[in-house]
Amino acid sequence: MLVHEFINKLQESLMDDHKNFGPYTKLEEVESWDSVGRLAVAVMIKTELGIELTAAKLRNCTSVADIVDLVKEKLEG
Amino acid sequence: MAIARLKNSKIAGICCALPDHRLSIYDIGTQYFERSDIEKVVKSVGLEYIYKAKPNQTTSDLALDACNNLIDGIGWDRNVIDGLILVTQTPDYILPSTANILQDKLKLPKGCVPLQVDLGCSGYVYGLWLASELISNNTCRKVIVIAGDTMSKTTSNKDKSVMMISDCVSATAVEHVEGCDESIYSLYSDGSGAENLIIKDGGFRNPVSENSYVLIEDEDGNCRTNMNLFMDGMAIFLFAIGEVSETLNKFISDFNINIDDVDGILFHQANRYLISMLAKNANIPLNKVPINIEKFGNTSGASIPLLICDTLRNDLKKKDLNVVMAGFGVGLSWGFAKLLLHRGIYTDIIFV
Repeated sequence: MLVHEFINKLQESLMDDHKNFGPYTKLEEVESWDSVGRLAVAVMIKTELGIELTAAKLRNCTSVADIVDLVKEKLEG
Repeated sequence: MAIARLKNSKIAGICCALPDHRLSIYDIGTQYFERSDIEKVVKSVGLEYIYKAKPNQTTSDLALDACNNLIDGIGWDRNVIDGLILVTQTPDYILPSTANILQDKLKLPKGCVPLQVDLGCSGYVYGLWLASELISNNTCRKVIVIAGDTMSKTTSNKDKSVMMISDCVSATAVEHVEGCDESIYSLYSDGSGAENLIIKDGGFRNPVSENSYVLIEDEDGNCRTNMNLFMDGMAIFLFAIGEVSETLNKFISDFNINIDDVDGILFHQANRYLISMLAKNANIPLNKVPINIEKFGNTSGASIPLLICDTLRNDLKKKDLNVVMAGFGVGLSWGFAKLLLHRGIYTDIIFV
């Protein structure tokens, strides 16, 4: 999966509709970034990339780029 | 993986006892959280109501009512019941086993074998398997399997991650019937996930101390003590869509189960979203997947029998039903069963 495809899936799983959602987006500005939203993201990452993240690892992310970093070994480009 | 193909055992009836005390999770949750937070839980888990045992109402109290109703309903002579399996995580005492207490309270003969099995949400499948083993080996002829908990006594009201936990105890009568259809069981365990669903204190590893009752707030704003049930919701969810899902698919393919011939896939009622993902991963159409978590919450080992009594009751009046069961939870442990529910079997839900 390409990085931008992953970011699209990330936005979709968070049910976010910001036009400029991208690597620099701060997660604290994403309304759905709470325990329920993080579960949706973890499920997407497990389903799409086969990577199992812990709640703590996701909670420590502050930007979209931080999440991309956690899974970059499975991304292209 | 343990596999069993067992003959000559048949489910004769099921009764589920719920405490006569229904609560909306809005009523509980909004005491401590914003209404919008509770709405998110309702939406993501798919539930609204739970049943809560009264302070003096224990697993054995609910079991006694479920069993008495069941035994009278199917007309069994108590003197010939020779097995009692109680699957619970909330026994009356650390010792003696609540199964022994129930043998007496139910006026079952002293020759009846009582066993207590320490499992939760996977427990109904394990209990049925054990009963069928005893029957299939001619050790017992008539066995009562009791599965259920009063887990709400262990949860913190200030913990959103366990808000779906609800109380119910089921009783299932299993008997020897020569020539009855084969039932198939497949059982698994992964103790490396033990810490993801745990009550940390109160056993002998961490005996109760003053610190056991200190309320601790976690990063998500949930508060619990070490005597409360802790669940790492994300880890459990990923375990379910990972290992449980893969092994369910393996169960279906190993035993050549044709979903077209199955009338219902009965998942432990943990979470509506999770159940639909498990069904999707196994290519099971949702019309074969009954869900009732919205009405009763997550009732641990009682959720599959409660699902049968609640959603299959009318169908069972008309025909035999081929079902697959999938239980998964604490341990971590999980298991699958394929068996026939016979037309006309007794099913009932009582409120006590």
